[in-house]
Amino acid sequence: MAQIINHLPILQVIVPLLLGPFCVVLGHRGLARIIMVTTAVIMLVISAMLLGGTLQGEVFIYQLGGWAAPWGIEYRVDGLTAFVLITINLVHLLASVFCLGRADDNIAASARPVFYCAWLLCIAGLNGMVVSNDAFNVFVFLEISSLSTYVLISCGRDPKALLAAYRYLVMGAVGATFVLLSIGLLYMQTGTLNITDLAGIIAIRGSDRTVVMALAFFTIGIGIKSGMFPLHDWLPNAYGFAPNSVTVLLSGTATKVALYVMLRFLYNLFGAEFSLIEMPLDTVLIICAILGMLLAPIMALRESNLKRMFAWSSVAQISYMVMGIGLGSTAGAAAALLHLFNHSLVKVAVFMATGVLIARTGTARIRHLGGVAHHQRFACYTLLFGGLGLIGIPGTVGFVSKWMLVSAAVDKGWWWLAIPVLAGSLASAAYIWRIVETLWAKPAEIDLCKPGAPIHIVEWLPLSVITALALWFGLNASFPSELAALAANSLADTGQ
Amino acid sequence: MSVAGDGMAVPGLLNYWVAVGVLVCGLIMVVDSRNMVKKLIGLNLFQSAVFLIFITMGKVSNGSAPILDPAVSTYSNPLPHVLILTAIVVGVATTALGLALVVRIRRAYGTIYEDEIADKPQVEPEIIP
Amino acid sequence: MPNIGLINTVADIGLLAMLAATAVLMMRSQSPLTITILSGIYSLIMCTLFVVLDAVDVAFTEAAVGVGIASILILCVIKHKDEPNLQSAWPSGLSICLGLGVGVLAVLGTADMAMYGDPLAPVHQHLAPRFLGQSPQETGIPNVVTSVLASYRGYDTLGEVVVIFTAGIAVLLLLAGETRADGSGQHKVLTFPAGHSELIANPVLKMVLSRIIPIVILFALYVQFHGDYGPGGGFQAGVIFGAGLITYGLLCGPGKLPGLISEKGVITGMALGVLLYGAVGVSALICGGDFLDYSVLSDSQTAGQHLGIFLIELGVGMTVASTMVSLFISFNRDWG
Repeated sequence: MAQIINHLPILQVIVPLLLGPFCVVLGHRGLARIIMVTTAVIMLVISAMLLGGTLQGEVFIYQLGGWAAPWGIEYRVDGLTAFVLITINLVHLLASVFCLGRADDNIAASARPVFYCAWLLCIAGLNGMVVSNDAFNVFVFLEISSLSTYVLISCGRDPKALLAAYRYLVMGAVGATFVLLSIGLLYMQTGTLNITDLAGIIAIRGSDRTVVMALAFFTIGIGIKSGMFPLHDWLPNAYGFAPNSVTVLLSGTATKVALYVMLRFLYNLFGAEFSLIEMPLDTVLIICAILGMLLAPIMALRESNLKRMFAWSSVAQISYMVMGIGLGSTAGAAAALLHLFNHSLVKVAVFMATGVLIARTGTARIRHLGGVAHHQRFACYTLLFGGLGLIGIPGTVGFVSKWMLVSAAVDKGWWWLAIPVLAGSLASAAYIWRIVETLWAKPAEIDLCKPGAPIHIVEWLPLSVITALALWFGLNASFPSELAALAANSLADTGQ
Repeated sequence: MSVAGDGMAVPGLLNYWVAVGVLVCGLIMVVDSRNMVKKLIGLNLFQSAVFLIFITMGKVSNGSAPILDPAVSTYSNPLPHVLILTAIVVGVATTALGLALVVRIRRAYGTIYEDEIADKPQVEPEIIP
Repeated sequence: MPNIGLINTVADIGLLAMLAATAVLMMRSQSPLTITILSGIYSLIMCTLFVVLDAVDVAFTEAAVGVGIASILILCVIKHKDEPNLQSAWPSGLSICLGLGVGVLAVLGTADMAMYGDPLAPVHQHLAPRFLGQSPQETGIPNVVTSVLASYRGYDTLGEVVVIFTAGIAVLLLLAGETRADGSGQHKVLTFPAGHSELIANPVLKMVLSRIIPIVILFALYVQFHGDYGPGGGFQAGVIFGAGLITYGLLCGPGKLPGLISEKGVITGMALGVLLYGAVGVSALICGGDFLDYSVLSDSQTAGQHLGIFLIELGVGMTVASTMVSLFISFNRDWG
């Protein structure tokens, strides 16, 4: 048993990484489904065990291939890693169950094993990015998750999904290449690839112009992958036209992991002191965040497609996390992490509800969804609840993390940041109201095809679980806030 | 800085500068091309500039390829080679996937030019029967 | 020896000039076919430059990938009907600003870099000395690139194989697309496109090809198993082996091919390569080591390393060869 605990960090990644290809070999839809859900359960259990270990102050180190750290690749799980792992694997389990439903019945049965395989490889890549303590290995797993994401998006019903996947592929590859270039420059100046080692050497040698360039290119590259405001161009279409269950998965995991990598590199590898205080990166991030908070809701208001509208809302919400990272303080990082967790819960609930509605009515056009709430009560009420969380109404999870964010800003003396946060929240209230008005009050513009089709258990089960979690953590936020604070502390500890 | 005497250090930073130039060409192709295939080729150009930067940093003057041989004493750094082997393969995988998407897009829209897709009236299956 | 340093320098500068010129031509050209050919030339120059810079394994890969696979795939995609649409030969203001911004930033960043070939540069100090000094004792393999690739950083290589696998299944999924709704769906036998039949009817071509194939396969096997001692390894061998299989498929002509080159066979081959690689890692785990720690696989450390590296290179070769076939067949489907 003790042996298995030592191997947990690697099992977290290789279980989905190897079971994915196995699904394809089996080539059987039913078996592939069973494997997918079982894997998701195993992964959640592993992350829970890792979280349990880190809560007792343990840091898991794993040397791949048995080679000692700077020569071989190292996995490292501390409080922050475990926090992100539990978030993404929780979302992954719920999304996997949701995926079994009828939200995406356009994907042919024969294509299913490959679809499930890409799904597992995607989550394996994301987990690999989180646990790896080797800069180049992060790049490799970034590419595994990216490539499989392009495949997943291209399975969307609308031919526009192909265009969305293509555009994401081009932007994503440019971003990943910038990250690769940045890693190369760091290696050039230090001779190492291990993140802890890099941080130590940079701290001793001091930075030079090459390291500054590496920082700039890293921020651009990871900014693209995380959907940071001016680099978010791929996101609305990718979320909007991807299969419904894929949108659920991506919204709760992919951008979150990219933000985690940003946090880890900026705070630990480059050092918060250098990247955010010595360099003007804090100003850049805060400006991007403010623009995103204010402009993305306006784009959401103008949007006619339900999923794309919520994708714009994701761009807005990512801006809040970027702001937390840009504050450069432990409190700011904790707020960003809590918002990351809370937004995952809320947005996953919203996209699941959206997926149910779209699968039932066959349309994503907002104006065609008039009066749907009278047929699909459960989905519409969870959508409403999620919407309130997105606005940040007191009593919802969105409020808790936005409050923490504002108090972190006030601590730093930047009280004026409360203004864009408030303005952004009001703007999001506007688009949520528009949806509520349509779903409940407007008459149906066209006849719905199958309004009465009942909601299936694999759809309402994950939807109720995630809504219950969001409800509970909104009313009693002590547990996630403590976790986020611990995670941010472990970030600060590693930095010293 | 540049030891012209034995002609070894003459390239100086030239490799890096040319790589940056190629990188800029690639980036311009990616941003500017409306032809989706040309865009992917630009992406390849962009990536290979980064590969050149990696391989240049691994070079040691008068070194030899890192295959150990008793007759040789100086070797170039093998690690950048390993990293770039992986990166090249990742790059071609991305290209292949991108090209497959282009083939499907051409089937759906009848063109590989992005602006022509934008001009086309959208026949969107709003209601799936 | 006459001044090798000087020859090296001249070759480096000359190739850089050609590289830059080709890149600019590619940027300015509008015809898809011209750009494709230029991109092949570019890769060839790049590949020569890699040899000058002592990266023989990388050069081998660039030759197989950039000159070979990438060019062929692009040629499969572009068609005559894709007339160049009118776009000015010079890029727009926005992209020039963006490109110049990145370029100026990057050139400023080069100011603190070590000069070309400087043996005292920080990049040569920390990790590399151990790889060059200890790897013969630790892995028993003279090609340091292979030992680092397959052992010290073997996990990255597993990731690389997974990436290839992803691309392979993705292309099959995308281009097999609309699975014919005749229900059968299972074990579809892939056919090579009919257009090639006239090509193969040419007796000269047919005879030359049939003589070349065994040599190609033999060379692939050499590259596969000699990668420990010379440039090459599973990836390069897989590409060559795949090329051999494709040629064989072309020779058989349109119609049904032997079972190996069916869709099911190709998918299984791709997945089995990844699974073989993973199985080596998991067996190390079961034998009490860390994941991918080959040393525990056998009695002595070097024997274990040898066994592990042999097996994972085999896995890489299997995945790559099957992916090559899958790519070629998918892209050549008749889209009528």
